[in-house]
Formats: sequence, structure tokens, C-alpha cells
Amino acid sequence: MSTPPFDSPGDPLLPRLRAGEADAWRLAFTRLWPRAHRVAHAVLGDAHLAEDAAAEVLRDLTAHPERVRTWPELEAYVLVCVRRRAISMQRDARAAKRGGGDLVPLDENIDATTPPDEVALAALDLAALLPTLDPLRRRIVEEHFLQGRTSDDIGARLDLNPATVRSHLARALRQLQERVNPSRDETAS
Amino acid sequence: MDHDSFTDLALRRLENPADGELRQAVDDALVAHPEWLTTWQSLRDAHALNREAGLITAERAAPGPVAPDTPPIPWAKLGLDSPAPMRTSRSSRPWIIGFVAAAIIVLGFFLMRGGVPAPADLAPHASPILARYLTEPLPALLARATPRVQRAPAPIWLRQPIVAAAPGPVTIAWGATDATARYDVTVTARGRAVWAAEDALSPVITTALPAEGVYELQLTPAAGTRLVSGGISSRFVTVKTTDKPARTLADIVAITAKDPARVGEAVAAWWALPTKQQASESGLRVGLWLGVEARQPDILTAVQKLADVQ
Repeated sequence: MSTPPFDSPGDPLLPRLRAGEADAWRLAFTRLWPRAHRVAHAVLGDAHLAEDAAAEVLRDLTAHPERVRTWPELEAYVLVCVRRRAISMQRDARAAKRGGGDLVPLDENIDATTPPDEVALAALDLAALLPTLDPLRRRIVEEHFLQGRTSDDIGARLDLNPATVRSHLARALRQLQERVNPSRDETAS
Repeated sequence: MDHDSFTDLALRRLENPADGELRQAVDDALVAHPEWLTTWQSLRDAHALNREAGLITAERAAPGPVAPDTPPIPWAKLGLDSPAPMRTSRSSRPWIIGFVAAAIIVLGFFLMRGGVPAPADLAPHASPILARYLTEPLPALLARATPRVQRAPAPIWLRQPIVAAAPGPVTIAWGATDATARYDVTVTARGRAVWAAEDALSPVITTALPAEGVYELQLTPAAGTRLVSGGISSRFVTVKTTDKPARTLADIVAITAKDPARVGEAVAAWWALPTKQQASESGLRVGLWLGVEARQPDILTAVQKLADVQ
């Protein structure tokens, strides 16, 4: 007997998660754990600390079953939370080493005040936008937003003027903003 | 400074948060043009959101599931007991090991004989978008599969390369509404032609192209071909890879999850599949994904025909 995939519309697992069934959560954690740990490990560089960060987020998740709407959304949400938790742990550790004092954000580009579920939706929007972009813009967006390269790096790699790269990025951001509202309206309906 | 220059400056500032000069330049521009404040805030927020979202997208698109050194799930820390099967001692249930080994052998035998994995088996290893195509109900996907390219049919579309190709001889393949139309094909790098073919039908194979190159590809109707046959202007890069070319549906899923830029290779691999595999449920779903997302109208037509036959 085959098990329905998690993200199929009629997936019976999702209501079971919302109902707080332990077996359903065990199944979900089995799927979520490897990526969650990998994300935490990439920030912390320590398997044991990464285990703590990932476990903390997953444990808290069971207390908020209302967050389970679709599997991709849940997965993205968990990864956002785990990454933020790992950054927070690393920041605390560095502050402790310095003997306390002001905390310095590890990545100024990331605005931790944006709710994690909003970032999770943005991740799904970005994944949905990529295949619709023309090949060059898609490559630029992937290199900048997914791989973290600067426009100078991308320009050098693709033999483009960095200003041209930034122009593509600005247009892609506009496309994303235009795309977000209709697609979320569809989701909501 | 005009608005476009300000947008450029703002993006440079966002890319280089520690650069005091850029920070000051943006502040100065906003003092001079307070009407650009909305642009700045919108750009800053969207950029920050998508930087973080991009990291998550990259992780979700990464080939899964796991690094080999991933520790076991700490069920106690998660507030759950271990699932029953995990509590079972392996030594006390040797038949389980035998059963699993037999299942692996049977599955391997099945795959070696050209069997087709089920969509649900492929989905966990697919990129997020492809996973959706592998899991949503097939009739709904078939009903929705009318891409932009079909509403306004293009006379020619590129099958390969799309975005990226492996270094070495590159296969250039295209589809055309007029199968007899011939094209002149030119590949240039930094404005210089590195390879060309005249009066060609698809596919053509270039000379060996080195890795890490950026190439412009031009297809123009050959002399004597009707201008309505259109043309293609595209760009691709050659990317080093040690992976073997995709040959099966599982390969297509794996390579596109690992590197979405290899979609052109996936298109070629789908066309090279035996009809039986194309017509399988997984084959139809992967074909729909390629047809819609990679804008391959002839794959969509083929998928619809195969689905109608079933």
C-alpha cells in the first residue's frame, strides 16, 4: 500500500498533525529532521549545538498545530525558524565570549522582525517565480538570493556589467512583489 | 541622479551593509529626493525578505535528503517517545533485516529492468516545483497544462541548452512548428564567433566548449527559409559537473533537484526515454513539468496524446 505524499491536497497526515497525534508528528519529524539539522549545522558548525537548535524548534512546533497548512509551507517555516534559532545561539555565544555587551547581528541583511511564516511564504513564492523568469535573469536571481553572491561576483562570472546584474535583480524583485499578492489570494481562497 | 541610478545605488548599499560611503550616499540621495524614500524602504524590505527566503529556497531545492553524518532524531528532546519500530532490537527481529534486504534486491532488479518509479517515490527527491507536479492529482495537472507558449505559439523553441550545459561538445536542439525549417546557428563568446553551422536541422553538436564560459546562441532562419520561422537568441553557461548524463526519470529528478539550471538536459533526457516510460504516470508528470515550466510545447502535446491513449 502506498502512502499519500505529504503535500497532496488530500493528505491525511496534515489533519492528524493539527489534531496533535503523536504518531503523525513522529512521521513529520522523520522527514523534517535531516534538513533542519543541516541548516542549523551550516550556521553553528557543531553537530551537537545544531541538534539542540533543530530539536528546540521542532518541539515548539507541536504546540502550534495551527501552523500546519501545507507540507511545503510547514517545511519552509521550520527551516526559517531553525536558521534563526541557530543564528541566535551563535550570537549569544559570541556575546558571552566578549563578556556580554551589545549583541551584533550576524547578518545585517536579514530582518529578524519579519515573521517566520512570512519568510516561509516568500521562499515558496521565490521558488515558484524562478521557472517563469528568462534564463539569464533566473541565473542572476539564483546566484544572488539563493547562493548569496554579490552583483560584482555575478557580473564577473557571467561577463556582465554589475549594474546590469543589479538592474535584473531590481526587476526580479518587482516581479516578486507583483506575484505575491495574487498567488497568496489564491492560496487563501 | 535619476531614479534608476538611485535604485542601483540602493542595491549596492544593500549588498555592502558595512560600506559607510554607500550608506552615506543613500542618505544624501534621500535628503535630496525625499520622494524616493518609499522606493528605498520597499527595496530594502523586499531584498532582506528574499535574501532570507532565498537561503531557505536553496535548502529546499538541495538534493535530499541528508548528509551522511546527520545524527539520529533525539526523540526525547522533541518530547516524544521513539517510534515503535525504532525501539525494536534489530537482533531480536532478524527477519526485518532479511525483509528489507529482499525488498532492496527486488526494487533494484525492477529498476535495472527499466521499471519506472512511482511519482510518490520520486517526489521526496525532487525540486519543490517538480514535487508539486509529482503529487497533485494528474487530471488537474493535465487540465491546467496550457502554458503561455501555447496561447501564442512560437515558431521555434529551444530544447537544449537552457541556462547551462556541461563543458565539451554541446548539443543544441530545438523544436519548430515547421519541421522542415532550417536554421543558421552561431555560438559566440565575448562577441567572437566560436562555432557556427549553416542551413541546419535540429540537433547540432558544437566543438568542445571550455568550462565556465558564457555563450550567446543565435538561431536565425537559413536562406530560403520563411522569415515567419522565427529565430532564437539565448545565452548559456558551461558549468563543470562530474555527474553522468541523465538517462532515466530518476536521473531527471535528481539532476534538476541538484541544479535547476540543467533543465535543458532534462528536456533532452525526457525525449530520449522509451515511450513506455514517457507514458507512465511518472513520465507524464515529469513531462508536464517540463512542458509548462521549461516552456516546451511539443512535450505538452506528446504528454496529452500519451494520456489520451491511456
